Amino acid sequence: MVHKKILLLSTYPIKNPRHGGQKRTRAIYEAYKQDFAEVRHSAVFFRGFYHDYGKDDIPLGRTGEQLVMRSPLTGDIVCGEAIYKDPLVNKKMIKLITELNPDIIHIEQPFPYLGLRPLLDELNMKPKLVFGSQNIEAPMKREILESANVPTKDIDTAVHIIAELEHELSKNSDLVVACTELDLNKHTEMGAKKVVLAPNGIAPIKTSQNSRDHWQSQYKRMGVKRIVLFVGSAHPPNWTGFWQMVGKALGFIPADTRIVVAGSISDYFEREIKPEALDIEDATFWLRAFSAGRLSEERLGALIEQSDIMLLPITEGGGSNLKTAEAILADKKVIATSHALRSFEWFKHFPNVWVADNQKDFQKSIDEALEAPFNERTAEQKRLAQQVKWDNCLADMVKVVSRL
Amino acid sequence: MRRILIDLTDLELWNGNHGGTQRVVYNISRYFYLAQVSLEQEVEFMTFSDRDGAFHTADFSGIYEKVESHRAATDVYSNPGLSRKARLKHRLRPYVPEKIRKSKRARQIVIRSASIGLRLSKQARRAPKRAKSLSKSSERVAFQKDDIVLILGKPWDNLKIQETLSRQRNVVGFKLVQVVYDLIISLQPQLHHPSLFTPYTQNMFNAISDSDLLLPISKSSAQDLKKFCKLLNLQVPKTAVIRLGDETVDNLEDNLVKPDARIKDRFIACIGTIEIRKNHMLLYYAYKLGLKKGLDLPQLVVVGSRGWLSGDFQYLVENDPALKDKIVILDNVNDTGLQWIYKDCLFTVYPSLYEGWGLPVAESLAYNTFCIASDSSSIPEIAGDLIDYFSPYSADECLEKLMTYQDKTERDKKTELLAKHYRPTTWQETSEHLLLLLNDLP
Repeated sequence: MVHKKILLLSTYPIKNPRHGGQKRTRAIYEAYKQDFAEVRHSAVFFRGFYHDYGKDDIPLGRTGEQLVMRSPLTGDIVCGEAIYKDPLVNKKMIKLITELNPDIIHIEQPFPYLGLRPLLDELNMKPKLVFGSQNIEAPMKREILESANVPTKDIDTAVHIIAELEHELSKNSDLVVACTELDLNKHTEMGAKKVVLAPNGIAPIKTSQNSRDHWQSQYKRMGVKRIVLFVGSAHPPNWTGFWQMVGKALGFIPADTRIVVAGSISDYFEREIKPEALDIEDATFWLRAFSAGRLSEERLGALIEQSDIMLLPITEGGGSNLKTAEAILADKKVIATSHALRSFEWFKHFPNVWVADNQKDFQKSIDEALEAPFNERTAEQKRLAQQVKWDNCLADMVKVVSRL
Repeated sequence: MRRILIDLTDLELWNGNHGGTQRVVYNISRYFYLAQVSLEQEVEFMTFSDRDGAFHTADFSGIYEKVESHRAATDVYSNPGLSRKARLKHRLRPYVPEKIRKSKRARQIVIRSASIGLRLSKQARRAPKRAKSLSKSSERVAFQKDDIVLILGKPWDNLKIQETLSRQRNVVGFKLVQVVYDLIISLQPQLHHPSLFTPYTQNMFNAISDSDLLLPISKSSAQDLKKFCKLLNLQVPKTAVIRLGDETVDNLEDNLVKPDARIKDRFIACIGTIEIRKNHMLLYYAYKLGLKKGLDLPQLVVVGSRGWLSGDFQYLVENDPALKDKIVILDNVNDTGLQWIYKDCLFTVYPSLYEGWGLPVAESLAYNTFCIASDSSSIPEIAGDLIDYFSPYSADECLEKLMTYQDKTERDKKTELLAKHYRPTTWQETSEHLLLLLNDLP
C-alpha cells in the first residue's frame, strides 16, 4: 500500500461510465484504489449530459450551464474554468481539496487545469501533478468544431486556449500519462519531463441470460440472422468515421443482416436519419440498421456476445480507441481502419480481422466477413488479447505514480 | 408442376373503373386466367390480408365476371346495334392466344366466362358504384420452393406486403417477380406529394433486394432502376423490360358523342391527370407566347382529373381573359368521351416532365392520332421518330411544334407514317412476353 492521497479530476462523472473517457477515468480510479491509501474522484460537469454522479462530483451552476447549452462542444472548457470562476463550484472544490489535502492530483484531460491552476496558486498548495492525456486535444478540438460548422473565430479561440494549456501541462506536470506511443512522443517534444504509456484497456464483458434472451427475441421479431455491431459514444469522430467508411447507403448489407448501432451515438443517428426526409439514403437507412440505444453494461455485453462482426470505422482523433480493445477482447470478426488500430497494430495479424481505409474496401470487407468462416486464435494470440484488460494497461502508470 | 401465384391485392377495392396499375394487374391476370389450361404451370391467385399479415388464395373468376359485366354495361360494346357474337368477338380478340382458340376445353372456358360477363351486364347497370371487395379470401397461401410469385401492382401502398414476401421468400425460397413502373417518386421527389416518398422508396429498396426478376416498363425506368441501385449500393437484380398493352377499341366512331359542349371544331387535346409532373404550365406559357406573337392557335382541351399542385395552372386558365375559351379543362370525361376526344382532336400534346412510360402518348397513337410530346425520360421509347418532340422546359419549342402541326399536310404526313408503322401492343403480347421470362427463371 502506498501511503499517499490522490485526487482525480475530470469533466465527467464516473459513477455509471458510458463513454470512453468515463471508462478510462473509472479504470484509473479503480487501479489507484488498489494501491493507494486514499483516492477520491471529483467531476465538474454539466447535468444536461450526465444524470448519474457521486457525492464528490460538482455540477455546473446556472451560468456555466447556459454557456454549455450555447456551445456544447466546448463544454469541457467551461467545466474546467468553473473550478475557479463559478462561485458554487469553486467553494465545493476548495472544500474537497483542503479536506483531502492530496499528495497527488491527477487531472484526466487538460480541461480541469484551467480552473485548478489559479485555485492551487490561491490555496498555495503544490501537490504532485499528473496529467492524464487521452489525446492531443487541440487539433482534435479543431476537427470537431470545424465539422460542426462552428464560426472560425470561436474555433481559433477555443483551440488556442487548449493548445496553450496542453503545452503548459506537458512541460510542467510531474508526470504525463499518454495513451499511445504517438502521443507519448508528442509530449516528449513538447518538453515533458516524465511520460508513461498507459494504453486504453477494457473490462471483461459482463452479461446475463436475461439480456441474451432480450436480443434473441428482438432479432427473431425482426427476422434478422446476422449482426454487424457499431458501438460508440456521441463523440463526433465516431459518426464522421462511420459516414466515411460505412456510409448512409446500406444496400450492400444483406436483407437478413442489420448494422446495430449502440451507445450514445445512437442518439445522433436517430436524430440525424429521418426516414421521412426526402433523401433516398435516409429513407432506407433503417431498413438495414437498427438503433439499440444507450445500454446497460449487461445489455451491451449480450449484444457484443451475439454479434457477428464489430466495426471500428475510426478515421480521426488521437488517443487509443477503447472500442478497439473491446473488440480484441470480444473475439469477434472485426473490420477496422488502420487509425482505429493505433497502439494495437499487432492485432491486425490476428485471424478474423479486416483492415480497410476507404469506403469501398470497408464495405467489401463487411461483405467478405459476413461470408467468411470464423477462425480460432492461437494460444499466443489468446494470451496477447488478455493484455488489453485495464489492469495490464495501467500497471506501469500506477507504479510510476506511486514513486512520485 | 410449377405454380405461378399472382397477387390481386390491387383489385380488391374496385369502384367501377381501373386506374393505370389496376389495368395492368387485371389484364395480365386475365390472360393467365384464360390461358391457364394451356400453360405448363399451374396458375393461382392471391390477395394480402392486413388482418393476419398473410396472403390468402383468391378467386379471379369473381373479379373477372364483375369487371367484364361492368365493361359490357358501360362501354361501346354494349351497343344494342352489335350482335352478341360480335360483341364477344371484339372483346375477346386481344386476350385469347391462338393456341387457346384451338383447344376445346380452353375455348369452353373462354366462351363461358365471356357469356357470364354479358349476362351480368344488366345486373352491373343496377349495381351500386361503391368500392367493393372482389376477392373471396379463403385459405392462407402455403408458399412452395418452386413457386413463382408475381407482383404486378403497387405494393408500396402497404409495406407489410413486401415485408411478408421477403420473410416468406427467406424461409421457403420461391421466385419473386415484380413490375417496376418507375422510380420517379424516389429520384424526382419534387414531382410527387412528399407523403409518398418514404413508403415508395422503402418498398423499392426491399423489392430490389428481395426479387429474382424485376420488370421495368421502359428502358428509361430500367436506367432509373440502375441509378437507384447505384445510389444505395444495392446489387442490380436481373431485369427485363416489358412493354405494357396499349390497345384500344376501334371502328366505332358513329357511337361516340362529344363529351362537352365547350369543345370547338378544331382543338388540340392534352390528356392525363392535371398535376405538377405533367407540366401543363408549359402549355399555358406556349399559348401566352403565341398570343404575344400574334399567332392563332386552336383551342386546347385539357382532359384529366385534378391532382397534386395543379391549382396554379387551373387558376391561370380559368381567370385569364386573354385565353377565355382558348384553353378548357375537362375533369369528368368518361371512357367514351375520351375516345371521342382522341378521335376528333387535331393531335394530342403531352408536355410531361418525367414518365415511367407515358400511356396517354401510346393511347393517342393507338387511335392513330398524332402526338407531340416532351422528349423526357421514357416518352421517346413509345414511338421513336414517328412522333415529334419538344423540350419540357421550352415554351418556344412547344409553341413551334403546336404551330407546325396545325398544318394539315404536315399532320397527314405523320399520321400516314403512324398508320403504317405504329402497332399498339396488346395485353396478350405483354403477357406472352412475361410468360417467356417466367419460363426462363431457374
